[in-house]
Amino acid sequence: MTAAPRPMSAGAGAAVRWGGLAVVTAVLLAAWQFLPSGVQGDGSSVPKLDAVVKALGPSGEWGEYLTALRTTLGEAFFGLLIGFAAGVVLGVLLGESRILRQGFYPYALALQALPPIALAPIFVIWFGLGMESKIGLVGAATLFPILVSTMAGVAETDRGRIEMATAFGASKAQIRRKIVFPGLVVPIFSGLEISVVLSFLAAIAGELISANAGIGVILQVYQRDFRLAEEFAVLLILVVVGLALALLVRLARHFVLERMPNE
Amino acid sequence: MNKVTEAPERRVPRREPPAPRRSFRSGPLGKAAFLLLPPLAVGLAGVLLIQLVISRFEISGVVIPAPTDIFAVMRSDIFLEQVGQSTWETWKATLIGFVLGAGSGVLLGMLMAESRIVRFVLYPYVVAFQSLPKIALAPVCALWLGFGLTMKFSFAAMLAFFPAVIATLAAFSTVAESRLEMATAFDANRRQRFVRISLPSAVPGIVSGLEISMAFALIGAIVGEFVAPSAGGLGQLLLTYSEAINVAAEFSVLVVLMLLGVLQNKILFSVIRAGTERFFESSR
Repeated sequence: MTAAPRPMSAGAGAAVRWGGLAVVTAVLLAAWQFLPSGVQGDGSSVPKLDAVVKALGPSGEWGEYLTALRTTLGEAFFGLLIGFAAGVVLGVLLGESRILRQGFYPYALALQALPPIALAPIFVIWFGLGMESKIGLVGAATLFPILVSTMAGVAETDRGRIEMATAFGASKAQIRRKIVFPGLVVPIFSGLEISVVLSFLAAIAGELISANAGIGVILQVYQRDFRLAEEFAVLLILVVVGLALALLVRLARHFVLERMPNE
Repeated sequence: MNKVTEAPERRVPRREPPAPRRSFRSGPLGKAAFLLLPPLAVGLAGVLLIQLVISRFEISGVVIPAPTDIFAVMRSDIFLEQVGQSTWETWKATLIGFVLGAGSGVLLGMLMAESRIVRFVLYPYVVAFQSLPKIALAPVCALWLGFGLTMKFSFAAMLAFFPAVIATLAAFSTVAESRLEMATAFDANRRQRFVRISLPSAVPGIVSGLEISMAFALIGAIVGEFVAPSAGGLGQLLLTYSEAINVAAEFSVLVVLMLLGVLQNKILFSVIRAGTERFFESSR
């Protein structure tokens, strides 16, 4: 009955839905706290809810969490910067020149099929255990979504508008600045949305493989030491940071589109 | 584009002169040559250039291995044996994870699409999990499930699950409201509407979601192998070569991994897409 929504009393529907959400959440939290924990039967493998809350409270290891988070976000940011710049430049080049596109696009597709995480060991050999290797990995991982969406944006530019501008004597540079580039904002943002998520993910993945600081490192330390309350606390912090990053991209898109001159 | 403007005057005599030129380009051979030549030229030039630069400036194989070194590694029997074994191990975990994760993801997505209350209750959890970089769960997974195949395919399944849920949900939300209303007017029941209208029009979207799921399942299997020291597979092979600083062998593994990715993400899925399209086309 749902796919074709019926007129139903809005208040009652909302009450049922919010009630359902509240009940399910309460049951989940209660189960987490009171069920005998442990997939393998030992109490250490799933931390109790109150332990996780305590690890997130003022007595938690906030110093450790935040230092690690700063490292990871730094890697994600600088890596994304590199991936973004390279992706936009290459995307415009491949989008504008047919011969370049035909020559290079198959390789771009093939490289995209390679899981970027697999490059991590090589970046460690090149750049060592510090932030640099993770920045390189993030750059490589975030490049392709931006490249592909930028290229598609160039290819989808309205030919009619370009022809009209040419007829009115616009130069190539003018066409680029006035017609092609403004049309790229939306596709670039949709690539950026994917790449921001990927940047965070790639930074953590790189740290899990080999690093000397960051979220991936403390996650492994907590796991090794069976400090699972802290482990889960970090995971919950990651959820919040992930949501914040996604929100940030949306806000940025909104901000940019607001300020774009209307055609 | 300029042809459009020339067309009206030349319409009658146009037939003869351009025909032979066109037929070469649009014929099957010409088309293939036109598609294949530029990438081949770029690839060949790239390999030659790298080889030249490396031998000219005597760049160490640790920085960038020469293409000839990579070819040599890829031809050696030991490498082929190791890589064959590892590829199978990785792909086994990927495939099991994909089937479990994407299968349950599509089911949950359908349930959420069909029931408003389920959608409302579960959506916040899906969003929360979606924004967690799930790679971060690898250490916990290893702790719970050990270092073997179970951990690898479970982790792959978890990564494959969410894209399938999101894509299925989105695919069903694009089903044309008017067609459902018409079906209702013709007395179709809920099951008929789902099977005859919603499902066929949601299938392309679901298949695209599955393609993403498959790519994520491969990532999951490899990260599982990175994190779990005795899991085997291409991830372990990469780490082994990395510890030996055998960069040429690492690049060879990457080439294999890239081929695997192209095979499963692009080629396999274009077959699946064509197949499902034909199947649902005929059922309409």
